[in-house]
Amino acid sequence: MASVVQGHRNPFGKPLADHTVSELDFVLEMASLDEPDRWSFVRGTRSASQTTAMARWSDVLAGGLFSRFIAHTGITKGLAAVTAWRRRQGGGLQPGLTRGGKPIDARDPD
Amino acid sequence: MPEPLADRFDVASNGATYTFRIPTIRYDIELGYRSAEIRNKAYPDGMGSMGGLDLQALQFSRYCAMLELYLLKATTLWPYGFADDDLTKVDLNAPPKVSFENFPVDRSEDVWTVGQAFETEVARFRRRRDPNGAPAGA
Repeated sequence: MASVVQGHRNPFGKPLADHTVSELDFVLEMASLDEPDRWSFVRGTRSASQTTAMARWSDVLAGGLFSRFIAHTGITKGLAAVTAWRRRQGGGLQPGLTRGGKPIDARDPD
Repeated sequence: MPEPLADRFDVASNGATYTFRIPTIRYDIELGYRSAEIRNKAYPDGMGSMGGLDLQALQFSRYCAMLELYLLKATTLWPYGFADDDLTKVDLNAPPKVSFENFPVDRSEDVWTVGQAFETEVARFRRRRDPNGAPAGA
């Protein structure tokens, strides 16, 4: 499964049944980071995207509560974007980059 | 939208407005089954039965079912399990859900008043049209 997701076959890879759930989650998450247009990874039991859930909430709220909700979600999304930006600056894993933020191709072969 | 074409109606209660879907001909049946399901969840030993129930328990379960089945929109958060000042506690990853199990206990009276107002409105829609007078719902 992991090799299918990654687009290649690993002859030394373990059979699917030998992978733990955490290992499979890791492979799927990395695949979604590499190819976000093709794969998406949602951790846990979150079945709907946040955007969809927020749209549903804005459908069921009316009046002043709706205005407050829109203001609240705007602030929440803004804070989430700032957090994500800080995480990226902190050197987390990114497609094509090492943990230190250097391009993979620029690494010293030694 | 002209009233004969409307698919929803508003009910005002205690300063809040609740928008409900206009029930179809299946109203009595779906409400009966949902209220039985609610009684079963609230008190499994009774198995949803109406036998031995006092009128208040029966009516309250019907009003909870009305909210669960027909509520489309509200200007208050309690039907979704939150107090109005708890907007920050809303889980934005989960869609809204009207469930009697999440109604705050201090909103029991609201369940009664909104349910009664809903029934009054539905009675208007169920009245036959009078060709010589005002149409139903007017």
